[in-house]
Amino acid sequence: MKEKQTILIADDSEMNRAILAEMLGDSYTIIEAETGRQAIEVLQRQADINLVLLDIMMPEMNGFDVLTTMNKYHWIDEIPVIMISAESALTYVERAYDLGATDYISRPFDMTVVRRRVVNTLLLYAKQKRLASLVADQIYEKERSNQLMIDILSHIVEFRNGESGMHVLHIHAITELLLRQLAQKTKRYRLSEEDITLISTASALHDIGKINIPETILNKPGRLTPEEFEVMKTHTTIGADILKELPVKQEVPLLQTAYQICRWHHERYNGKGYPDGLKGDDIPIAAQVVSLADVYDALTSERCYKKAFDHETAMKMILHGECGAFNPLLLDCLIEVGDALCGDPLAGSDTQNHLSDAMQLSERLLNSGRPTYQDHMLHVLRAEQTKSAFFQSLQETVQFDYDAITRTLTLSDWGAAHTRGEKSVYMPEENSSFLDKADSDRLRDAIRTTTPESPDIQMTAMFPVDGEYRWHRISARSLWSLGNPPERVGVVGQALDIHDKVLQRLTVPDDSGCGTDQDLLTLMQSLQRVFSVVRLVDVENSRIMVPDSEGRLVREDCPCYSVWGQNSRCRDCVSVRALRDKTQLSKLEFTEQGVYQVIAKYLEVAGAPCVLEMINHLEHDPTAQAAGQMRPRLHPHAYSYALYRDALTGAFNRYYYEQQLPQLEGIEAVAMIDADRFKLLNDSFGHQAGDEALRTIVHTILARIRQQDILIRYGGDEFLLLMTKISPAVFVARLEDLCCAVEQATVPGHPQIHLSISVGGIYGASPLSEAIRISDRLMYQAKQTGRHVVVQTEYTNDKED
Amino acid sequence: MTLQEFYDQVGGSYEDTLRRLPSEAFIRKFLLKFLDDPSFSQLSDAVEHADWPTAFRAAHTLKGVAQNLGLGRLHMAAAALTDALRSGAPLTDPALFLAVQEAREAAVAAITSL
Repeated sequence: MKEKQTILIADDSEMNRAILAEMLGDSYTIIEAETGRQAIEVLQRQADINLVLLDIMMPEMNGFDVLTTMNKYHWIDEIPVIMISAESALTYVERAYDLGATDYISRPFDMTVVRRRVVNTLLLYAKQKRLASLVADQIYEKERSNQLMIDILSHIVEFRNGESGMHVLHIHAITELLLRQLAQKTKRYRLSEEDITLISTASALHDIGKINIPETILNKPGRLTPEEFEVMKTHTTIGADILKELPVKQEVPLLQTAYQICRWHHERYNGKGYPDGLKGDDIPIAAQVVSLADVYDALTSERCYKKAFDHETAMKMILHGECGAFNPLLLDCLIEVGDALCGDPLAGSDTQNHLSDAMQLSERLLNSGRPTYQDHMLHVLRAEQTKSAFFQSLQETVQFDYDAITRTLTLSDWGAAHTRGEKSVYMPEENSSFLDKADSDRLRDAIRTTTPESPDIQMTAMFPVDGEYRWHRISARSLWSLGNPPERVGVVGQALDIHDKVLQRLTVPDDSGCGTDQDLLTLMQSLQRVFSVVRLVDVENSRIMVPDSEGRLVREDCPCYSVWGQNSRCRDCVSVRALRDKTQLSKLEFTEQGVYQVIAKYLEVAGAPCVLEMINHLEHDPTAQAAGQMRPRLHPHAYSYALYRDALTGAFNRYYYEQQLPQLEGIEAVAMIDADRFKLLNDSFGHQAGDEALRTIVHTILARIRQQDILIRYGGDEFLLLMTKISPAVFVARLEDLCCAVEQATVPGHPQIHLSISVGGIYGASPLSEAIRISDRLMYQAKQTGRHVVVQTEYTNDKED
Repeated sequence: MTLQEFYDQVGGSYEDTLRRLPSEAFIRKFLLKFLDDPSFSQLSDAVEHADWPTAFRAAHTLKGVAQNLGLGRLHMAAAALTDALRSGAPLTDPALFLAVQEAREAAVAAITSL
């Protein structure tokens, strides 16, 4: 049934390897490595490693070196790593996570912990891999289809008669129009977007059988004799046979569809067509549609044996059955798309993409000596790179070019020489680019909002040039692949030094000392085009500073936190920290209205310290306003969901936890929640039932906790619950309530499943990592004793090791 | 001697070890295997040659193994030595090494009489 998964254990102690191997048992294939170098060799040699258990202290490359190498070659994207070590010092753990480790097991080994972490991690990655391979297949499928098309068409090009070049394009466009109309009209044929693309593409092949029809018959100006017509009719079966004999896999969907079209595009709905006399929906829908498109185009085009009819005449002839019987539904579609056909059917915007594909095909056909298939994506990138390289060489500005495929950020020579950035940075989102982490994140977030229609963004950021922090305006454009759907393949941009202008505005001193600053206000006005809210905050008094009639800055009565609809200062006021450290910081604020990014920048206005707050509503697109463009709105909450929510359950995800860790510090009540016997459930009811069970658990919990409580999917079936402003007694009661509620919940579609959870809770422990460690341990206790909920309401420092 | 008595003798917790590891048989098997574990001889070689980085790693390994098997006293002694040798520092207090040696010998003696 299922193949065994392979686990690499890298630990310098043979004893430890043996203990781990024996704990994991026979359900896995175990490979051992004694040193870091051996581990790398195994990873290089063997492609089927599913998981690495990695010790830190090892001779010849330690665990961190192994992780670094795994990053360098992208293995870490594919292979999860669980660190195992007696070194539970926080810096080690952090460093391991920074380098991409998935989980951490500290000594002494505990069989339940080891097994559970391994199973969880494998489950999580298996799911991601399935997704990745799905996407890869689709891309591959598309490229291969095109390649196939070109091969076929170039094979038959010599046999083409003069008219079919345009005919192929028309058929393509009309077929697509008809299919879309049909899909809207009825669900009978279950036409997906892919089907429509597939059938329209394959329609180009409908007449390839004509290559074997003698030229004299094919291009005969007058009517065909009955004998000649019999020969002509064979183009359907000939075409089908050609496809059947192609030396490619017959199960390729494009080929199957093309076969149907070739063979049956002269069948008629009443069974009076040829070659097989199929009737009604025995004729595949692909062939039905192409056959109608073929007839319409034949009527409205000039042929060697006839003049072109106009649209109205052609429609009349078809509807009166002069060209044979068609599916009434399809005839309705033809009438409905009549207007689009009336003009140039190729002009419709929907067909533009396919038209350009088809154009490229014909171009290729006309110039058979030219290089064969071009990868559009690379082509576009190369062109962009050539252009930007030229302009770069001319300018003394920081210019950058990010390639999403290699995940490499390249700076212009001038930019690299004058900032602390390196010429080329791999994974700039994690390694240091020329921007600070916060700005780097902000830039990335802004770029994520771009679309092929509006690829540009602008933002203001401060970074050091020749060692001096200077304000810059960053303009960037995202680059897109020509695929469908288009994918973001990179970003080019430049940072213009606007420091002197900004500085002028920010540091105009005022004799009175209480600050009038028209220029600052101008700056704020210009920032308001980029941010939803821009304001000066007097942090100590929690008041907003606004100019009075004379341009003096005065305190407003309204407190700064009222913008969030709160009655007291925010729990983790970013401006307090920005003021304290005299720096720029940012945080995310989650409210019922959505997610906001808050950037707080320390300033001295006329000698008085204050903080400039810039607030972005991340679900709106801040850059659209700036560019003065309308853009299709994202699905509400799409942004925060995609980024911070676990796609399966809707709880917050691990990324959220990692990103928000500093903001989460100080939360007093922490609980670890784990689904009982989840692996068993998965094994006996299947993964879909498992998924559904997790969803049920999360929904049950979410329905019973407050708005401000935070539920995070911490691992496969492990959840972290953070509750704030709650008393120990209520905390305990709430956790018990959750347990009962989950036990009473039923899994939709799987009434036989009985759910239960085990919960470990700790009150008043800090830091958060310590609280998590304790709650994890208490959760095990709960599990082992069958008590379901174990809570410690007092924190005693019981650090071990 | 029973495992319970064994753990009393080496300063470890029988209950805790049995909770973590799969079975008594498992524990006994790996305790016997511990007799062949090379980390202590690596440690004493390295100490003899004043090769402090290697000594640190060997002490660290020994500490981990002892901890996994629940050999409490040896774990504590090895942990103290590991901390002293951290970042390749020379050993200034020989008592730390002697304590490891003693705890190791006691553990070996207890294992052989299991």
